[in-house]
Amino acid sequence: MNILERRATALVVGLALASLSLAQPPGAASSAGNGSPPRLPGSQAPPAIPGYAPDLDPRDFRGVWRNQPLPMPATFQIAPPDAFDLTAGALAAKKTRVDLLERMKGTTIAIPHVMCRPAGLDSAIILLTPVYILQSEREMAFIITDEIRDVRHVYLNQPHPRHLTPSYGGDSVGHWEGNTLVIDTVGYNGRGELGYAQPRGGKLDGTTYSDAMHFVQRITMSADGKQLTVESTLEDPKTLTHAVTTTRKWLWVYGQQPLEFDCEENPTEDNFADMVFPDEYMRPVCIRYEGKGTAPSQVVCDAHRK
Amino acid sequence: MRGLDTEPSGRRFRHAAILSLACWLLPVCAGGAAADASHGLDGIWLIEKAPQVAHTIDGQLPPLLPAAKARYEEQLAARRKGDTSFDKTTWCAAAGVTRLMLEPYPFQILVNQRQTAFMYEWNRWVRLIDMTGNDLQPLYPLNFGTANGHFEGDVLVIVTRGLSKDTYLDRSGLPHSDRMVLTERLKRIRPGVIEDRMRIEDPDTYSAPWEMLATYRRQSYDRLKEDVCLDRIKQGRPAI
Repeated sequence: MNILERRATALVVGLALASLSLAQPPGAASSAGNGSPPRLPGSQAPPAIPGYAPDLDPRDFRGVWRNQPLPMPATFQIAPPDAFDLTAGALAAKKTRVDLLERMKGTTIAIPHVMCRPAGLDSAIILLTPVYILQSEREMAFIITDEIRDVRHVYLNQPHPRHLTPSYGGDSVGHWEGNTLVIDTVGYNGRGELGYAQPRGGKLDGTTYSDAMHFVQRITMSADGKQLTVESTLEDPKTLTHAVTTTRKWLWVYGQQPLEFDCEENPTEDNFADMVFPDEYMRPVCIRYEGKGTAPSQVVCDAHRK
Repeated sequence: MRGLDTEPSGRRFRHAAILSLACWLLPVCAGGAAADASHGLDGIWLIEKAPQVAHTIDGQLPPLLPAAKARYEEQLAARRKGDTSFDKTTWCAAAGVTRLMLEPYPFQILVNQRQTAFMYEWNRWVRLIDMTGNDLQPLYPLNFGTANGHFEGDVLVIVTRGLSKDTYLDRSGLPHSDRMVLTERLKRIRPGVIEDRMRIEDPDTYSAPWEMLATYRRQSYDRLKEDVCLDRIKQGRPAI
């Protein structure tokens, strides 16, 4: 399996496990019935943490949240592909990517996610793994420690900086409209993809978004504190002929021990063997080569690698 | 909150008292960390003096056991020859907790009631510390381990276990094992400056527990930039 397929498999297993009991309160699923936190089967099953009861303050999002899974492949998509009405330029770019994938007989497009860069919109909407929200008077921090590791800082009640450095995650500012948190994000670097790249087999969507993307998210907590309704509106005149709005539910998790995702740790040669690189910039600088005979494997970095 | 360190102590106390009373009366304050802000740890910090080699508080080299010392010296020799293949940060993989605390990259602390976050600018790493008092145990070794924290007065005490032996304590390559226990005590020592006293207990690597100390200065900017290590080395700049 290539890197993307491995991650997709892990995600499916993770979502299945998560749907079993992470959304239940501590003790609710305990087989012993003694009030101890529920435990998921297997070593990838961190225990829930007592004391993570949701807060009923509608402006208190602090805690751990996970995406409500959708039927495949919708879980991996920001919105159904037919929701995006592409501009002529975006259609041409998409065709180039698809043609390259076919010609090279590759299975994966080297998008930022699989090349260990921040996943931009995908991270902000799809949530492969739980998001930890911490907040203060001046900031909401959306933290993903597992795949895909990311921190989204949302600065409250202030404008975007006048001079923005383009980035994968963009610049996010927020304010409250009643009890709805409204997040405005601009300043993307134009390398992001609208939904995770799919392997061949009719699911490929090579659509990228541009540096003109304007992303607005409206997040509202339910009265019982157990659900966030996340409405996302994407407006990108270079890519889309009209704005697209999509809605997801994020569910309260009764605490989850933070795990880690060290994407860069082991860049083995075979990870990249069946990838195609429409954006040459994404070619890896460091690759681990297997040693011959008894020689150990070694990571070699070459900034000028072609 | 960022202004607390620069205010006269009397005014700071009055503000804290008013804030505490307001938060006790108004549940809306639960949405922020304001009630805990008297510790003065929230904000963006940068180490005052980044060491090439971590030393004990009294300036000695840490008490390495013979096998660990031999490995350490081998790595030092390799680095002198330009071979850094033992150091995974050179291809942008994770640095360990103490190493990132000793590197000259800014980090942001955000204390909440149930969790504290250390958000490092370097390659966007985050360390989450559980503050619920549940004494979380490691599931398996992680680069940032499993951390439990609590306040003793205004001192944030963090105990971290389950730290992967694949990381180093500092940039020189001081080793540690998976059995290492790191106990940190963070506190404000003067306006705009905090310290982190780090105690290393690792009987597999060191003959006795030892401590190191680092101080950090509050930064005037209030945003971390998006640091992408792989992009940096793509441009021929150092990974760390």
